[in-house]
Amino acid sequence: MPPPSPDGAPAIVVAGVSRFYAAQPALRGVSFGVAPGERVALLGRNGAGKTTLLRILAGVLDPSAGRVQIAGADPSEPDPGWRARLGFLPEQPPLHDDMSVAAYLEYVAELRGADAAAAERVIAQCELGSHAGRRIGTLSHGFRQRVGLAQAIVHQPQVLLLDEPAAGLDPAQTAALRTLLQSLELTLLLSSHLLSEVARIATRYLVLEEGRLVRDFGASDEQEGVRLRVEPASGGPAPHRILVDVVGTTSFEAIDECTFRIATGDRAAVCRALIAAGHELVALERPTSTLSELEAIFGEAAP
Amino acid sequence: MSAARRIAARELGALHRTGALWAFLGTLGLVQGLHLLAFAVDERRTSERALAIFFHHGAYVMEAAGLVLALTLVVMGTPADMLWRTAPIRAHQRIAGRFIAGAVATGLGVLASMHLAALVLWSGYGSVGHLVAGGVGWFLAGVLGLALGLAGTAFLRRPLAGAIAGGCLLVALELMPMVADRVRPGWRAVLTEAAPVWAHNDAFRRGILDLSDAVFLLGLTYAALVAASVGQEDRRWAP
Repeated sequence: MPPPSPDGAPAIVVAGVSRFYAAQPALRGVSFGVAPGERVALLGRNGAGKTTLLRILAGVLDPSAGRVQIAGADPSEPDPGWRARLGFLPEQPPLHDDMSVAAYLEYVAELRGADAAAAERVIAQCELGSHAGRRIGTLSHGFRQRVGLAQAIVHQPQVLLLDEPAAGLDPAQTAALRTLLQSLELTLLLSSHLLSEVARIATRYLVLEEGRLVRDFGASDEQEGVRLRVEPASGGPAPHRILVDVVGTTSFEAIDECTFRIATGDRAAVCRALIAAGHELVALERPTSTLSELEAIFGEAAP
Repeated sequence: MSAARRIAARELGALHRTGALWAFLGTLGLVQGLHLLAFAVDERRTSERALAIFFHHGAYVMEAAGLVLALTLVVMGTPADMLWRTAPIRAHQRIAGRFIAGAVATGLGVLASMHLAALVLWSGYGSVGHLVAGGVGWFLAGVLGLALGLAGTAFLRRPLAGAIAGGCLLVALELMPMVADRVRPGWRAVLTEAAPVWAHNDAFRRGILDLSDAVFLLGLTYAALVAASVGQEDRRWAP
C-alpha cells in the first residue's frame, strides 16, 4: 500500500496553471482543488484542454505557468517515488501488445512497487480472469481499455486520473466500467464525453472551455452550501483565517488555498468580511448539478 | 528484482516473442558469414590474416547492428511510453534496462556470427584465443553502437531520426583519423584515437585482448548511456 498523502492536504491542487504549445494556449490560469476521496469529472469540448491538464497532473507535461500538487507531491520534483501514489490511464492505454494480460500486469505491478499478489487481485477486480493468458495484441478494444484501467489501479493509488476511459466501449462495458469506478476508494479525476455516465460516477464537475475553467460545481452543492473562490490580497489576514473568525473551524471546507465551501446562510457575512480585508471574490456559485444541467451546458450533443 | 533488470527481462522477452531477436541473429549471422567468404578468405592469405580482416570489417557491421537493435527496442517500447513516464522509476533505470537487453542480444549476435570463423578453427587454422579476442572486440563495438543509438533516440522525437543521429555520430568518430591529417600535430593524436574501430579494434582483430582499448570503448559507451538518460529524463516532460 503506498504511503498516504500528508494529513488534511488536498489530493490535487491546481493553482493558476497555464500551458502553451508554441504560442497556442491550451490552458489559461486554471485553478481548483480536489479533496481526498472526491470524484471529479473534467468536462469540455474537444480541444478544451482536458488532456493537457490531465497530463500535467500525471507529471508527463510541465505547466508553462502556475503550480500543481498531486498526492502530496510536486510532479516536477526529481524523485519519482511519488508516482507510486498515482494511477493514470491516458487516451491510448500504454500496453505491450506482445505480453499476456497477466504477465503485463505483473510487470507493471513490479515497476510500481506493488506486492506480488497485486496483479492477481486487479485481474479479479477488473474481471479479466478469462483473458489473463491471452496476448494483449489480440484483445478487443473493450478489453484493452479494461487492461489499461487495470494497469492504472494495480498498485492501489491514492489518486486516479482517467482520460476518456469509456471511449469506444459498448453499453455493457461502460456499465461494468462504471461499477468498477464506483467501487474504488480513491480520489478520482476523469474526463469523459458520456454525460450520463459522468453524472453517475462524479460528485463534482469542472467545465473547461478554450483552456479556461468556466464552471465548477458539485452534485450536492445545493444541500451542502455554496462554493466561494477568492483572489487573496497580498497583505492582511489570509482568507482561511477570516473564515475561521467568521464561521468557526467546522462550518466551512477548504478545497484549496483560495476555494472554500461554506454554508448558504453564512455567505453574506463571509463575503463582507473577505471584501473588508481587501480580498477579491472571484466566484460565488450555488449551481444545481444534474444530468439535465450538464446537458444544458453542452447542448444536446455530448461535449 | 531491480527495475533495470525487470525492464531488461521484458525487453529481451519482447525481442524473442515478436521474432525480432531471431531475425536480428539470422541476418547478422548471414551478413558476417558472407563478409568472411567474400572479403576475408583468400587462398593467398594466412588464416590469421583472414581472421584479422574478418574481425576488423565485422566490427563496423556490429556497430551498425547495435544501432539497429537500439532502434528496434525503442520502436517496440513506444506504444507503452506513458507507462514508464508515470511509473516511479528513473530514466537511467529504463535506459539501463534497454541497454542490458540489447547487450545480451549483441552477445548472441556475436556468437551467431562466429559459425564460419569457427569452421576455420575446426579446419585446424587460427586459434581459440583469436576468436575470443575478435568476439570481444565485436561485442564492444556492438554495445557502443547500441548506446549511441539509445542516446540519439532519447533526444529526438522520432526513433528513426534518433538512430540516424546516433549513426552519424558514430560515422563522425570513425572518420576522425581522416580529419586528423589536416589539423595541427597537437590535435592529431587525439583525433586519431577517437575512432572506435579504426583505432581501438586493432589489437582485438589480431587476437590480443587489450585492456586500454576495452576501457576506451566502454568509457565511450558509458558516456553515451549517461547522455541517453539525460535525454530520456527531458523527454518525460515532452508534449
